[in-house]
Amino acid sequence: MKKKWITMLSAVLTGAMIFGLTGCGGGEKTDDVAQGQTDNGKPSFVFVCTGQLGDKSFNDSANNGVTQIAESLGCETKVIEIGRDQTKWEPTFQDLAEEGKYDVIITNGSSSSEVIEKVSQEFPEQKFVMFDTEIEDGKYPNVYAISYKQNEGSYLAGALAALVTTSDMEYANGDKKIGFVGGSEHPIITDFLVGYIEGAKSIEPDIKVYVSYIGSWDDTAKGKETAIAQYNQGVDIIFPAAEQAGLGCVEAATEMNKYIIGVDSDQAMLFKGTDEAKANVILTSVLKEVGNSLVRMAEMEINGTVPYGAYESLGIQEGGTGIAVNEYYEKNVPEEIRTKVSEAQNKVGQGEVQITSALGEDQTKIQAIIDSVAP
Amino acid sequence: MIDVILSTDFFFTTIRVMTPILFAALACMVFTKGGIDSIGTEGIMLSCALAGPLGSYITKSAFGGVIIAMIIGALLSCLFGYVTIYLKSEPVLAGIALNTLASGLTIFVIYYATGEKGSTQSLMSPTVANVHIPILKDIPILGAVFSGHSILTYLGIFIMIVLAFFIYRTPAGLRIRSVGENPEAAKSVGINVIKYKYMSLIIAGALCGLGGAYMSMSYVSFFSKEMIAGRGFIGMAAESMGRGTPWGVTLSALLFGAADSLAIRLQLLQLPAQLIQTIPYVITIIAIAVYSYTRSKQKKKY
Repeated sequence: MKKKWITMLSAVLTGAMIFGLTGCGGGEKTDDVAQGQTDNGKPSFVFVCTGQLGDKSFNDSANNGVTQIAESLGCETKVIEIGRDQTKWEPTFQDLAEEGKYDVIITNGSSSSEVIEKVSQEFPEQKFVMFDTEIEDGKYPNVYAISYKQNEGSYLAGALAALVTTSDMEYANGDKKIGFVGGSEHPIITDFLVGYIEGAKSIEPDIKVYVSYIGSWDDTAKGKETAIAQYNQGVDIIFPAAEQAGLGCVEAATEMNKYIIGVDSDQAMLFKGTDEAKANVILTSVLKEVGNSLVRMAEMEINGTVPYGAYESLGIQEGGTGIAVNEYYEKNVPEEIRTKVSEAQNKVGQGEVQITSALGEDQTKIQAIIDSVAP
Repeated sequence: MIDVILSTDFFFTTIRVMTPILFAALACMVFTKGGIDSIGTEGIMLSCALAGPLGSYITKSAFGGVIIAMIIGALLSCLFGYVTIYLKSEPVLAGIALNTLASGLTIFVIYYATGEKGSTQSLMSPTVANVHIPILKDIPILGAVFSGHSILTYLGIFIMIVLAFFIYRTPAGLRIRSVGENPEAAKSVGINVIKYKYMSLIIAGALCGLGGAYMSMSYVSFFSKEMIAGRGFIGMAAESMGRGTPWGVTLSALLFGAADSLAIRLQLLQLPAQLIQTIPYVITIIAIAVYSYTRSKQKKKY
């Protein structure tokens, strides 16, 4: 009898796992973007997507980059989605490296850098490219990492927020208060915050910045609650760096007639056609141009100039970060403000402005920056 | 500082934050009364949070969405019951399987329904309205705190009162309790154990459905992956903190809601976020400690 129950249970669990995995991974779907170009002497690339495509963010941006590599550079590329189950990651990378079919393996380093660091040492002949992470210089000679100066993009967001809150735009009030909502305390999020504060101070030295953390990256309801609490304090524009949970902030802005600055993907354009009310409160979005950075990497790979063993930090100048200039930005943000934002963008691009980076910076200095704008 | 906490807005928020926890806690209460493990609450709520907007999109009415969420909740709850009661699998494992299933399956379903894998925002589904209570809304303070909530919030409080009556004052309620406490004894006096287990499964599942629908049709207007974010488990904690009585469970849910809404507000005062995020947990520990202490004192008296 007991054996029967165990069999039943394992059947149920197996069923759940199959559903779970296909759900998470969207199936082991692979996209053959271009085939049969192996013999043209150009390097080949495989993008291993940890998680799934369709996130309208990093992975999709990387996927666009890979598509461009295939289309405009004529290289062979492939995309593999391996889902969120981290136990499957290492074997997948090992298999790909062992097979050696692709010259370069690309992946999102923010979640898989440990796996890559390990596998890259097992397969010293295989080249790896990680985006959104940094590596120790010289330690991994066959790995190239790309990180993004998110503080430059969010500097522009801060400048825009300060310009909006001091303007006479429809939903702006008299208080010089702006908000920042983070998913949780994390070095990259702090880097966003520091850039945001410095950008805002460059416009309005007396600005007050409310800083809250949701404590989750998925909890949209709590994101909404956190944004409502800030808006009730007289904040009229919030920059949420909280992935999915930030969608709750967007909804709060829509309901309370306030403004939002999106993050990671061009969020206003995502709502175009389906939810104009939301699209109209998202003035712009801070972007990490993962796709651009991969195309840049592929061009360097063709010329053999990729600095393997090191990482590069790409900012506005290299097209690695920036803010979204879309129809909603042009429609909803007055021209005067847009001119000032693009002036700031030029200054940052030309290196005239020094923006503090929270990455590797002393904690007390960061805290002092945050305290300087505390309400 | 005081005005940030002691405002009508704070109490209003507390009720809003409490509502999903209340539904989860009431569901856990009914599960527990029927002698069923409530660990699957989180997963059932998550599935229902998706069923709600999809249902309201298909039926073009918020009411239809809520009903479909309740039906899906009851069905999943019965599936859990079938696996644990009839197939006698280990409830904790089956519950974990159900929760894992829900987080994967919901993404799978939204991908097929909308082509996205994060949320159902592209579906413009009708949502449950907030209502202002006549007369009450004109009373100062009370009106600002108790009026203007979601219909589901009022429904939740109403259901709590009905359940208090149903479980303790009706024959069916008595049978559910006896089946839950001692199925053999219940069977010996001719009670159909399976029937009453399924009755509590259906009621609890429908309550999970309401909780899920509240999250995605009232709290926010769309489903997003993993949006229950542990509220099902907090409901379990509220159930055991409230010792399974409807009023106790409601008060515990209210306490959790207050702690959460306090934590959100205290951040505005520039207190360290790490410290503030521990508040809900610290309050839980204190409340359970105080409760156990008074209980052990009571026992000593006899």
